[in-house]
Amino acid sequence: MSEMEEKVRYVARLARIKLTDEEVGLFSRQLDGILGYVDKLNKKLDIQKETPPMSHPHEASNSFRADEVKPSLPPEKVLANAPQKKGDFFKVPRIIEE
Amino acid sequence: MDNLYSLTAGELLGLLDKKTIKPEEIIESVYSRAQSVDKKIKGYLNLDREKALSRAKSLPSSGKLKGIPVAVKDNICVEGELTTCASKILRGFKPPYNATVIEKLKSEGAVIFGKTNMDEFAFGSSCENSSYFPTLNPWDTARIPGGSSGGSAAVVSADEAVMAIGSDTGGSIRQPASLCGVVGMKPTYGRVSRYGLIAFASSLDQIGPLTKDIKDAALLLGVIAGFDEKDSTSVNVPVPDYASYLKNDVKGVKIGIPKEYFVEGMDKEVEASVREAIALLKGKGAQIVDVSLPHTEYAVAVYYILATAEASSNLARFDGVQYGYRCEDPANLLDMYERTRGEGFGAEAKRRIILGTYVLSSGYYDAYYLKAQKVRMLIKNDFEQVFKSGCDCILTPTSPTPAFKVGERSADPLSMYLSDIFTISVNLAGVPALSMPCGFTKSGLPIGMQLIGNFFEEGKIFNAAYAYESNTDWHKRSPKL
Repeated sequence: MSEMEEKVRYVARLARIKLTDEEVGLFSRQLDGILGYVDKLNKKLDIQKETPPMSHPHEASNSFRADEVKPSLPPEKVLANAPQKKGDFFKVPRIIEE
Repeated sequence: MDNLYSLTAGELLGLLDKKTIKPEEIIESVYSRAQSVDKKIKGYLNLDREKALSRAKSLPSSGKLKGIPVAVKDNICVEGELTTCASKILRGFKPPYNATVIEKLKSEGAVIFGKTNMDEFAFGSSCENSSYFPTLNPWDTARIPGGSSGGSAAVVSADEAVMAIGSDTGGSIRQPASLCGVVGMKPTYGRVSRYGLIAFASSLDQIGPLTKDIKDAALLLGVIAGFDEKDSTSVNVPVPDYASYLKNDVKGVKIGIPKEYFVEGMDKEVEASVREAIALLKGKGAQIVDVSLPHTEYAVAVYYILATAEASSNLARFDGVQYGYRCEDPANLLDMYERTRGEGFGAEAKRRIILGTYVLSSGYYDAYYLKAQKVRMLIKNDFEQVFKSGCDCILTPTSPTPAFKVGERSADPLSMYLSDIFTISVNLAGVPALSMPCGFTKSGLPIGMQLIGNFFEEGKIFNAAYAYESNTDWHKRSPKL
């Protein structure tokens, strides 16, 4: 297994995505090319330490609202799209062993 | 009255005001048009005549868009309507609420008309990544319409919708608008609420209009723009009357031409058309100046680091628990997550989630993610310098080539990513930009030009765009279908 294939398998586990062997091979080759391209930021550009990172186009600050009760979606609407439900709950596979 | 489908919203509103026509007649006309041509274009995922007619019959008594059907990209939530982002993982999802833009459209009397096809989760530049079917370009059905809002652009171009809304993360409104010969605008980041837009990259996404002409774009943006307390990234800046900017007068308007957008290797016919457009505006009194956006060459690299990082985080919510697809008989919770996401996402979505998770992972964060954020700041500074120098707008091509053939770039994601090379910087900076038709190739494919403005100065873009449109007829041409 190539180094990139190992990385793709590792990252896919982090991202909780099951990949087939064919997908691992394909994505490894494609990511190699994409990462080679984006590496121009490291190779061609001398960024000053003091340049601030930009995470947002505007000055972002916390968006506070008054602490008051407002209408919210009723449970039946929230659960309407659930793949599986039981009563007022989303149903998922058991986590804790009996 | 025949052929109502071919009219603009402005023209239809004039007829509605005079009571020459009724909203139901518009719906019937546009629906019949879609019935006859959409089998060739495949722009719609869902279109329901009865629902549209019933909406047209129960309109509010007044409104800026009263009676006008508006098609909606499938990543914008419409209560009770299938909203799937063209993805298997959201098949069957019917949102329990409306996006803010949908509420605004409805309150102004627009008829929510149908859901349009797109690249899955807005990942793509060709509309080939839909999990349903690819959409095709109305000007040549062997070619792609652009993406990711390819369905919205194609249905407006083919007269299957009077107007449409799309979303733009790296050019997803402007590039398909250019390739389909219509007008498309990405507003300033924060100008239009993103509440109810299924997020791709939250610091870049913005909803915007796709229309047949500039007047309609100004009208539709005026309806959907404005502060929304439900969106913490919405900016509380007053929305001007965009119609007041629609003047056929550009005397003294200073337009910057960035040298980095006219590079070796770009399509000659695209370059010639954009240069002719610049000459026309100069002839009408605009002041044309050379400017520089020196960090343009890094924009695609920055974008694909930041956008995929944000996407990997945003798409974590699709895990088979609350909505959409869940794999069969999962052995345990981890198996459910991994198989649901492995089976539910398409190839491009998986590729982007993997890349985004990689650049955010321990050991690579500083080299990729943090560095990209710093270069993003340099790209934003480039735009600020140009506007500080007194430019009202920047003019560039929208796409380096006309529409390419279906399948031509599917196997090479990097070449596909480079299709957005002229639009991506705008999203990184957060400024507004519009694409409009400015010519055709000898083989009959539309060519688009892009007008970029300073933060919240969409009005200046509309002024320059309207002056250009008033002196050309590219926008009046229609594909033969």
